[in-house]
Parts: sequence; structure tokens; C-alpha cells
Amino acid sequence: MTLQSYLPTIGIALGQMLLVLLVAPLLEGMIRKLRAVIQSRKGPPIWQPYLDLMKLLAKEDLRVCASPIVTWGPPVMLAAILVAAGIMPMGGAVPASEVADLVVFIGLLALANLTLAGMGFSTGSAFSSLGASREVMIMLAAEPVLFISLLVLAMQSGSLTFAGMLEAPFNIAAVAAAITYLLALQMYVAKVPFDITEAETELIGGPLSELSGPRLALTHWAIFAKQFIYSSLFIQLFLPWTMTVIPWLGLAIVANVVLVLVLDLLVVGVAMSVNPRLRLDQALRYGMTLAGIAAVALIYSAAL
Amino acid sequence: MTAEQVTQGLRERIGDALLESEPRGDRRVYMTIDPAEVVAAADELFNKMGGRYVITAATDRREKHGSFLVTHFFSFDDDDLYVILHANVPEDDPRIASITPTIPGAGWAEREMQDLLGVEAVGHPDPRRLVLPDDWPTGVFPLRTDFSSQDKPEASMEGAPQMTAIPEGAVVVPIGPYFPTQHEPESFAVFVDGEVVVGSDYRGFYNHRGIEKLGSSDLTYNQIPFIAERICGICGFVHSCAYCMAVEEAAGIEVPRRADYIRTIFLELERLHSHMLWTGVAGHIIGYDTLFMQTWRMREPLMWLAEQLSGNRKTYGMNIVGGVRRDVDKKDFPKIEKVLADIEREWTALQEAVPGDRTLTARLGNVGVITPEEVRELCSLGPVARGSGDTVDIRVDHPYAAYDELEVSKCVEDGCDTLARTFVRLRETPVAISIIRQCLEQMPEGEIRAEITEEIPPGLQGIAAVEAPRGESFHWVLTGEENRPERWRVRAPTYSNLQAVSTMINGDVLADVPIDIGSLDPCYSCTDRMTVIDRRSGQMRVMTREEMRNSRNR
Repeated sequence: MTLQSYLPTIGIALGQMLLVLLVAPLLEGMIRKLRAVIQSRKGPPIWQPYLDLMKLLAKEDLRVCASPIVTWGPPVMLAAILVAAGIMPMGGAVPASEVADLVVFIGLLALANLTLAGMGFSTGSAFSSLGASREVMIMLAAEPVLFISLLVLAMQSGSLTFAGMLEAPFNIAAVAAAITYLLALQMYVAKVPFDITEAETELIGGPLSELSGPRLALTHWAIFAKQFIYSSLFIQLFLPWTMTVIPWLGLAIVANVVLVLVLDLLVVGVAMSVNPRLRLDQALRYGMTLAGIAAVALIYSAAL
Repeated sequence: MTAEQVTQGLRERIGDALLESEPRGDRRVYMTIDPAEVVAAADELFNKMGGRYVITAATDRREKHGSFLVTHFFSFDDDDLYVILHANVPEDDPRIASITPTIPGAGWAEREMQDLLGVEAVGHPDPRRLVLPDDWPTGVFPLRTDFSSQDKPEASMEGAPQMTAIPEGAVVVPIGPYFPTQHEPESFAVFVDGEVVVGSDYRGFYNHRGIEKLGSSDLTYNQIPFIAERICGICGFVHSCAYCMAVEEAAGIEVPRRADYIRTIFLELERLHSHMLWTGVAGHIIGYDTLFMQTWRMREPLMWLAEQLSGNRKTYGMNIVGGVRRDVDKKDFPKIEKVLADIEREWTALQEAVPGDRTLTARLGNVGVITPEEVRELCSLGPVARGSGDTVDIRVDHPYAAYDELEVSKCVEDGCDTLARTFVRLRETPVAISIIRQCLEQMPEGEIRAEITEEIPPGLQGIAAVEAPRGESFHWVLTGEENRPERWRVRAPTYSNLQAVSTMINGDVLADVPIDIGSLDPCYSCTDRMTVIDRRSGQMRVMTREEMRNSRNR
């Protein structure tokens, strides 16, 4: 193939990256607003996260240590999430999803999480290190759920690419996988009751506690973006019909954004408002239970 | 145990070393013993007779009596009896045997006695400094009478923070001096292995204001209630009440019944807002901000009500020796009823929801465990004790103000954990509402304060205990000359409860530590009893309104 034939693929991927970058703070702002309403507060305006990011980006770049992980961690984390956003379907099948597969996608997300943990470990602060080790533990519990529930679709369609998985039949195994994915969503996005890594009232922000200014802004941005793509992936893979009924890609992408907002408000926003934070061991048990359910669905789909 | 039985028992144990025993009514017995037998006497009262250790106070009486007075206080809660055990320690050898090996809960009080009065507790297992800062010069004792409240000793460079030995392989996680969920300065060094707590150390008293010193050197009897109320930012009324009642008991002042009822109403209003505040803070600590916001929303009308009744949201300024300063008008009763009814409705819903909230119970259950035996040894109080099956509630056991005419149900749980302490506070809230209602119904007409015409003579003693939202607040007043106490000792409940923290958090994971500490409803300033001190110049000063406004605008 010539370079030119790749242009639409690259264009759409870049478009998706930009979209996630721009919309993710809005998602956060809306969740904050919903939370405020549930708590009988007025709450900040929904564009507050944009203002927060701008303020942090404009601040002096202070680093607590010279470790390259702290220097490069925030941009690497954001980049990993954005690349993942670029290769995933966001309004039905996209060209990149023909080549990029599930393993690459999960690898990119794991890279982002590990970078966050690495930043925590390298600052030398007790709170950061504890947060980092919690991040790793949570990853070990959450990633299997994510991987196995998506593998159910891959198994059914016989393909590890997103484009293939979109064709997976909608049966009981897929429903079980969808439910486990949804139940684990709060874990993936690390919000209460699973904000164990940051745990403001225990670890004063965990791995984030030693970051400031632009580095903190990028890390926050990556976390917002992560929240967007996990929700988006659910809609794309488990509710693909919402996209196929829309004939035009641009409109489908807009519909996807709207659905992500609705899903995040209903699931993430409500769950984080009506729950206290779990302890690490409780969160791990929860993750393992879900992984178990997903594994049963996987075995069932293999038997089909 | 009656006063006679206690005297009899002590006489059998220490014989002639019991120099004097003077019951005052059925509820108090004042004893003087030979300091050489203090440990035996403490052992008899605490271990044999099953008394509860309250606090230790030391008084500098060198000028008139040539000695230091060391006083241990004990309580027999089933019999409404307080035992006051005095021992005169000669000024040229200010040493007395430590009772901490016998009663672990006395550890802090004896360290404080060493710090502030220089009376050494011989054989104390942990004689490190407790109250004084590390750079305070040795040999300077601020509560002695020859130390003026205005004295500012030169900082000494010899002292260094002394931390207990860190277990091998453990990491120190600092909780304080400033930590998001502890709203006052305190410093726990938590030793963790992985995430599991293997030990801890506490350094507090960053807020020592020298209030007891001011009470016996600068203020007069009727000024003290206002500074006493400022001991605590949440349950201050408890302190002004306890102080006034102690002076009234010492001087034999008869308080009008109506004043007793008004005090009771405010004490219970305070308990209500304090428990609601705690429930919110506890929610916030475990990341449940919705609980935080909602309980504080429910609480706000209560603060407005207090403002309407007393003129202030929180620091009511109602108490004065002999009674109260403002009446509660009949025309305000409907307003009080209305606020109480609203709170009761919302609180009942909350109270029913908590046991069914599985995430909440999973977070609070089985953490911060303190057994009934440990409660007794460490002399824990209030909801901490009642969460572990201890039934002590001063309102019922040692009734004061109008509680003898009111029906108060004790809220006792036996879970021994943070969840049990939560339930105790949740259940005490409707009880407080019912007490206020009873007060409104039964409150007699009449005067609201006693006329005090004569000066209070020196050398009299009175004690008062009030069930604060956090447990028993205990005050002892020894009257003095110049219209002020010779000694005024304050023991806030957190003083006792904080000593239980290291027991409670051991073996828990770090994630539980903030809520374990929070479950005491800790009140560090109460414990520290503190003026803004500029560290560079050593100058004491108070921020002006102008300065506060500027710092806000900055």
C-alpha cells in the first residue's frame, strides 16, 4: 500500500485523539456537577476541569526529583491513552481497528497505569510509594476482568481486532461479559469506591501527591481521557447496534460522545456519590469475583 | 461501693498511710494518703474495687504548704461516687511512684505532671516529654507558681524529638502534623510493613494554650467560663458547664433549677450538632462525601437555632458561675420543636440506611478494634467505651444539671469496632432530641442564676463531670485567693481516648488508620488546651481581624 492510502486511517485516528483530548474534561465536569446535585450542593460549572487544567499548565514546572520517570511519565501516560483512543472504534468500525487489536489496546492502557505507578515509586515519598503499590495491585485485579470480558467477544468472532469483535454475535456469553465490564467500569476509571490509588483522605493523592503544575495537568488529563475511552469502548463493543443504525461516521461519533456522557453519569457519577471508598483487599476481592464471572462466560462462549 | 466501703477497703490495704478520709455527701470522698503508698492505693481502687481511673492533677503548693499536691481521681460509676486521692509530695524531693505500671491509662497524665510541674513519676515506663515542645529548656516548669504566664524562656537547642524505636523493616508514614482528615495539628507516626500497621507513636500538644495556667494566674472566677468554652471548637459548652459546676460545688452555690434545664438543653443541642458533624467527617474520611454534605446540610438549621437562642452559632457564652446568662424564652419553643422534628425525620432515615449499606459496613466493621479489657485499662470514654460494651454514661451514672429528672437511655453496642462506635453516635442523636423535648416540657419557671454576694473562700474543692459528645469531660477546681482558683484541672475525653489509638490501629491496614483515629471523634485542642506563638520571635500574639481579612484576600 502507498502512504496515501494510509492517510484516512491516520486522519481518523488523529481526529479521535483530538476528540478525546477535548471532550474528556467536559465529561469530568459533568460528573462533578451531578455529584454536587446529589450532595445538595451547587457545584462548580461544568467547564471547571478545563480551567483547572489551564491553570496547572501555566504554572511553574517543579519536580521533586530528577528521575526520568517523573520527567517523562506524565506525557508518556497521556500519549499512551491517546494512542489507545486513536486505534479504538469510536463510531462503529474505523480503518485503524482493522490492524490494531485488543492486545495492543490493553498494552497501551497498562503502560499508562504502570507509568503512574512508576512515578509514584520514584519520588521517594511514603504516600506516593504506597499509592503506587496500590495502583499495581488494583491493576492486577482490574486488568484480568477487562481482558477476559473482551476476550469473550474475540473468541466468538474469532478475531482479536476491534473490527472483528464488532461482528461478534450477541448472545448470553456476550451479555455476561457486558455486565462484568460494566460492573468493573468504576475500577477501570479509578473513581470512588475504587479511588484507592489516590485516596485523598488516606494517601493525600498517592502517586499524584508529589506532582505539580504542568505535570499534574497532563496526568489529570490522562486520567480524564482514560475515563472517556473505557466508557466509549463499552458502547462500541457491547452496544454496537447504537452505531450501526447511524449511517454517517461523523454523526455516529457525536452519538458516541453523547452515549458516553450518559453512561458515565448514570454509572460512574452515581456510583461515586453513593459509596464510600473500599479498602484494597475488598477491591481486590471484588475484582477477582468479576474476573471469575467473566472466565465462566469465556468458557461458555468457547463451548458454543 | 459506698464512700465507707472504699475508706474501709483502703484502710485495710494501706493502714495508717490513709491519713484522712472525708466523705462529702454520698457522691464524693476526699482522701489524703502517704505518697509512699500511692501505688498500693491505686491498685486497690482500680484493680480490687473495680474503680475507673479518671485523671491525675498536680498542684504547686510550696508557698503555703511546702509541698506539691498530687491528686489521682477515681470513679465508681455504678454507685455515683468519685474518689479523690491526695498525696503531699515534699518540695525538696518532688518525686512520687508512678501508677502507670498498674493503670496504663495514667501514662499521659503522669508525663504531663512531670513536664508542667516537675514532679517526677518514678518508674514510669515511658517518661518522654508529652506536653512541652522539644526545644523547651529542661528544669523550667510552666505550671509552677514561680513561673509567670508571661514568662518566655529561651529556646534550648539540646532537645530533640524522641520517637519510639521503629520495628525492623517498617516504613514510617506520617499522619500529621498537617493531614487532610485531621483538622487540627497532631502527629501520628504510623509504622507500616507493606500496608499493615505494626506500631505507632504520637506527638501532640502542638496547641497547648496554657489555659489551666491562665485560670490560676490571670483570670477571675467569672472570666474563666468564657475561656473554658474556647477549650474546644465543637463541645466548648461542655467545658464551661463543667467548670461552673465544679466552682458551684466547691463554694456550695445552689443553682436555680431553671438554669439547670437551660444548661441541659444546650448540652444536648451541642451533642446533636457534634454527632452530626462527626458522621459527616467520618463519611469524608472514607471517601463518602455525599454523607458528609448531607449530614452537614441537616446540621445547619441546628446552628441557626443555637444562634437564635444564645446569640452564637457555636460558642454560646451562656454559662456563668451560679447559672446562665440568658433565658430560653417560651416563644422560641415552637421553633426548637420544628428544628428537632425536621432533624429527627431525616436522621431516622439515615439511621435506618446505615446498617443496610454494605460498602459502608464493610469499611467500618472489624477495624479499629478495642476490647472491653483494653477500654478498662486505657480508661477510654464515651462512644469509644460504649462501642465496646462499657456502660459508662455520666448523664446517667453521675447525673448533673437536670439529668436526674430526665429519662436518658444509654446507647451501648458490643461490636468493639469502628462500626459499633458509629452506631452509638447514630443512636445517641435521637436520644438527645428526646432529652431536649423533655426539658421543654418540664422546665420550671424561676430565676436563671444565683446571686453570689460573698467572696469564695480559698482551699475549697469541687469536681464536675459532664458527658461530652466524646465522653466524660472532667474538671477539678481548688479555690484560691484573689477571686480565682488556685488550681483548675481540665481533662477532656480525647485525652484518654487518644491513648488507645496505638492499640486500635495495630494490625489494621493503613487505609483504616484515618477512620480508626476518626472514630474517636478526636478533639486535639481540647486535649492540648493553646495562643498563636510566633516561632521566630517567641512572641505571643492574637491575630487581629484586619490581619485575618488580609490573609483571606491574599
